[in-house]
Amino acid sequence: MRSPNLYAFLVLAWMIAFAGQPAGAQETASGKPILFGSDIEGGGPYLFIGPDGKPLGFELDIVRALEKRMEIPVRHLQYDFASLVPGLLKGDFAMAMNGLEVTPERKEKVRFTRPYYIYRQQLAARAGEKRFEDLDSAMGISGLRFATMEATAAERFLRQKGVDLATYPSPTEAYAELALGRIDAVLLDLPMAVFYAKKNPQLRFCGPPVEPGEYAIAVAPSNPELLEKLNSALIGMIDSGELRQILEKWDLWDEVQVSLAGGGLHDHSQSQKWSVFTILQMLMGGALITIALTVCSFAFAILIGFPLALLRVYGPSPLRLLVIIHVEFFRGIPVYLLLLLVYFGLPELLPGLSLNPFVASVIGLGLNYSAYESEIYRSALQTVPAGQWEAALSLGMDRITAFRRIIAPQAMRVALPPMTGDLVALFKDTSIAGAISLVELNKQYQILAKSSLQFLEIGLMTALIYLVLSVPLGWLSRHLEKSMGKDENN
Amino acid sequence: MDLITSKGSRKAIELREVWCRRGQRSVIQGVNFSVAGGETVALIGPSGGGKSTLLRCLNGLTEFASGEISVCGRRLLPNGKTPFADLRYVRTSLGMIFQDYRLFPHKSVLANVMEGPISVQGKTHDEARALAEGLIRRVGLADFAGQSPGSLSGGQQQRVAIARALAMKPTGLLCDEITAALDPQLKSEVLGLLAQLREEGLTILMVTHEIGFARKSADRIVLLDGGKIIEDGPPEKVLNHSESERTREFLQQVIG
Ligand SMILES: Nc1ncnc2c1ncn2[C@@H]1O[C@H](COP(=O)(O)OP(=O)(O)OP(=O)(O)O)[C@@H](O)[C@H]1O
Ligand SMILES: [Mg+2]
Repeated sequence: MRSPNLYAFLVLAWMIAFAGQPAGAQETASGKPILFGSDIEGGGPYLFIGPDGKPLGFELDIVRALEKRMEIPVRHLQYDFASLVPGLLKGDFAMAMNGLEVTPERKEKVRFTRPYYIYRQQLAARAGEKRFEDLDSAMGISGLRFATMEATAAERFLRQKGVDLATYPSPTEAYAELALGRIDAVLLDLPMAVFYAKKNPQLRFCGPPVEPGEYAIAVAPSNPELLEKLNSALIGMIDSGELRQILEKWDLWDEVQVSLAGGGLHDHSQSQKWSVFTILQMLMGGALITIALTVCSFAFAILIGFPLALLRVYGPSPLRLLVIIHVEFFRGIPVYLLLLLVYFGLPELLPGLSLNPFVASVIGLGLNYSAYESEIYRSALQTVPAGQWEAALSLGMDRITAFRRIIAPQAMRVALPPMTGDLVALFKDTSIAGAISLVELNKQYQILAKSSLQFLEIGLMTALIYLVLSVPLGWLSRHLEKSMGKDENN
Repeated sequence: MDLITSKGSRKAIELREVWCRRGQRSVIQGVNFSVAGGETVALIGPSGGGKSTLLRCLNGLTEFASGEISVCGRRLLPNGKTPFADLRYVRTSLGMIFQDYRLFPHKSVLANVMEGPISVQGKTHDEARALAEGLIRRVGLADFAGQSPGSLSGGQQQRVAIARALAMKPTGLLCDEITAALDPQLKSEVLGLLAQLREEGLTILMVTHEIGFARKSADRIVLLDGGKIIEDGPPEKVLNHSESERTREFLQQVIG
């Protein structure tokens, strides 16, 4: 079966299917698949997408082994790294495994299995750096700028030391900024340093790895059976040497894991080339989600905006006031905030409500655009002269018939051009849904770019897809504006 | 063509002690008058005298405060209390024509005329089309049926508006300065049509400044000033032999 493209497509379908499917933590008992939350965007060597579009990573290998030992199928759920703990507690997935360091803060909220890897922090600098040789000497220099990934143990450590610190959502950005000279040193977990910095000739490791800690799998406190199963499976893997094999395969075995020296190093991600076809195929998958999100959100916005406009123009004044408040609220706050409120805030308010990212995005974007749509309809309705009402009524029509046959069609002609304009704007605004881990076109780009490190090529391809879809809509909008304008002049 | 069935001498419109307020002021102050079926009455008077208001009260576009109004045998109730069925009957019995035409700009000339029969009287598309085509021919616009109202001259638009009202098979028309916005030769197109409709027995109550037309074609002239009727009689009497100082003053201004 030498058909990597078909495979890539299946993986994509699998990701989309599971991105939209929350799973309760209680499902372990039934033998149904359980979900593990992890961020593909965080990248190698934990879990990332290989050049053929196939997911890879030492954690994926561990999951496959655990799956066999526990006899429970485990599926991946794409999830923002920084949101793994809240997502786990929300019940979006049963276990979180993503180089999740065992920190006192996390231990307060979730239960951890026994560790499957002992990590240490590695300092990296530019190859030509002369000012410091290791972490200690670096911290003695004033004015030095550090960076790391957000929500990591390294961030916690550096914040405690009070250094000048920038944080990024993934290691790739941190190392890219380091190479560009915008920052001076990056401290990150050794696996990331090995995966991203070691092979980069512009960068070098400074001193030995320090500050050891543990990676373990996080489980919700309400799910002790799963914790027990994972622990016994992990013991089995350690005893049989299976875990060591996996770590060795990924160049992660070192004297800290057990006091044994490993074999030779082999680099997994050097000199691999992504096929343009694979990338395009995956981007198209993201584009489909973006289109679906645009259509659904716009339909939702119209569905809410239209009745609101009717109330605003023809309703009694207390209701009119409510509509004004709705409009001002939803167009006054950032969509990004609104999305976080719907996705993370709403379940807090209504426990048991489990919105998947797609539905949450439709609600968030729909509410935001309902404010704009209702304003468009309001002003469109108000441009229809009162005389049109009187002409219709004096023919003997009732108000509903008059509205439906005479007023609404005229208002529609006024509303159509700005509506098309809004559709284009909404189409681009859907990129915000990546914030709540919906893998739409823009998020797909981020994942692919961070896995392949080809920011420019994939970025241009993504831009091209956006343009191909949005430019014709823009033309339609301007055409409508012109032709409607002509009518009015006569 | 059998467009109109006249109700002979039965009262088509009757007002008794009608008062009507707009804003704070009483705009109609105890008006009594009537129009017989088939009669043509010209309503004249100075600007702000309440002519439009009176006309609008007659088909319920404006509410009146007290008094009695009956139109084609149906009572209208004060303060907007008239049941919709009666209101619809009154509105379809007396078509209303406005100074600014008020055609539906999103519909063709033909569709404008078909609209009422379809959406009010429930006629089928084909019935409405046959009726509308006849009326459009009747007002001399057969060549324009497919056009949008915006591409027609003012006089043509006003004739379409009349055809649209006639499509409801009314017994009468309420016309509010329907030629005021038109050039002289366009005026005569519309006034000529009105005179023909009068010949066919339609009841017509028209607000107008066309004293010449009123003299020739109206059965009666009514002068409304300050919300009160100060003159009501045959044209000859009102225009030439009025006893009222106010009437003579007004006519002086209009005719010059
Ligand atoms: N919608 C309204 N709200 C308040 N006052 C109004 C309104 N419409 C008319 N009026 C007032 O009612 C009075 C009578 O107006 P109306 O339009 O009936 O007069 P008219 O005789 O038709 O005058 P014209 O010859 O200028 O058309 C005027 O003083 C006018 O200001
Ligand atoms: Mg008037």
